[in-house]
Amino acid sequence: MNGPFSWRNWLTWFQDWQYFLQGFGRTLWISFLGLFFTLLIGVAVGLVLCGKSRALKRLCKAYMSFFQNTPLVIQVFIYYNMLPKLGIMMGTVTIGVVSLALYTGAYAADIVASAIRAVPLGQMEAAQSQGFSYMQSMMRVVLPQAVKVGLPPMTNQAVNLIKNSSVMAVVAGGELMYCTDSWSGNNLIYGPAFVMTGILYLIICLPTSMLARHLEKRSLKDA
Amino acid sequence: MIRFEDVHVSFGNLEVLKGINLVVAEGSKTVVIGPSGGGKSTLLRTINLFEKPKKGRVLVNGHDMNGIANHKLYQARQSIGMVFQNFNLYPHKTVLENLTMAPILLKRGSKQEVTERAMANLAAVNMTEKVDAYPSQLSGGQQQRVAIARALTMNPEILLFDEPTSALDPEMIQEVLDTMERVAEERNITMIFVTHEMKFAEHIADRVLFLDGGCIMEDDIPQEVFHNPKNPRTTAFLGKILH
Repeated sequence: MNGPFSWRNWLTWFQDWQYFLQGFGRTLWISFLGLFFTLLIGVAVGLVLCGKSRALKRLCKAYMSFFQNTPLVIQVFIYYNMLPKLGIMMGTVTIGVVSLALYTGAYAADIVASAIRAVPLGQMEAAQSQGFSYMQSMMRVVLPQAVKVGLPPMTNQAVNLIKNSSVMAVVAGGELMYCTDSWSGNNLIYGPAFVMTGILYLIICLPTSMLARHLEKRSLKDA
Repeated sequence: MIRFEDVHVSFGNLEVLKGINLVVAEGSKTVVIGPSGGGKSTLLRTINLFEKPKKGRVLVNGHDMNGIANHKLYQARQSIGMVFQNFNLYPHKTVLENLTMAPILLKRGSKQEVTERAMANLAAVNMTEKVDAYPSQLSGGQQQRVAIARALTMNPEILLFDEPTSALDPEMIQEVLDTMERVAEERNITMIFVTHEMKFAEHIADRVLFLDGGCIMEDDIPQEVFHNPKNPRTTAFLGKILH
């Protein structure tokens, strides 16, 4: 077989599989940290959106509007090229985590706010009537119920975050897509590299989106 | 003791309570009746400051609920139980957890003490056998009985019932009324009921308030309000309800 998918090309890829494994590991690490901070941002901003402070709400909406309406690749470019000029230096992993968390967090906040609003108001009132503060009522009564509503769409965001981590390739992020790009460029072998990279993304994303579907079915059944 | 002093409550431009003056004695059982939109629930909800008075003040045991710091308000609410129209049990908690979560976390007794109290209260509302069930596995009447036990487990000094049978199917109303009646007879708790159940009101109350248009139109013992109303609006309302 000749062309981009020749046996020789496949063999060369398999000889260098460890290089891809390294990138795969970094993608997992960036995604894991990114997801962790996404959840923190999502819950914090979501709580503000459901709160009473108009000033904070406006601030959060401005954050969400900015990050939801500019391409992630531009945001990454700004962190990489412009922040150092302001004296803020970040490693590529940090840039990856920060950019993914801020970008996905803007969507996660919407999910958290919708999930909180889906919990009947009476639940908050019942908790407050027992003497819980607003925050205690949120943590003990409202959020545990909101999790059930918000988990399926949040899992979909996790899939998006993992795929979006490939944007780090534009700033030499060292993750899977960057490894694929640089290895292909060096070896002038594109076919096997991109196919295998696609498969590696599938290995993480497919179970995650299957989990989302399962959670969605379960939450519909419980409703 | 609960004291209303010229309490006005508004929602936007709509004034719902128009200068309520009222003293509710300790341990008394008061029933509030009146047409929908008359301000009954709002009156109840001002006691635990779910609605804030625009003017005037509500004093609970001498404390102005609107003037106290947040942590004092939360503390005060621990002694003011509330039973809601829609039960509002926590669906993610079992019956027992519904009863014990707040008293344990808010330190109204040790875990063992609270659990014993909860079990005694579940027995009082005949729900012992459902201790490990989730609210979704219970009928409306059973949920409301659990909600009453939940409120009792906080050891409240005041208990507010906000139309506790309005959301129930007719065949379940009686079991909740019986439970409330038993609780009212057995416990020395100040209780205020907002209800449309006139027979229950007449039987249980030592005082009935007729509230209409945000004002107390009639305030008397049940026999007088139901059989010898002074205000023509009370007569008209009772005429519609009872016939």
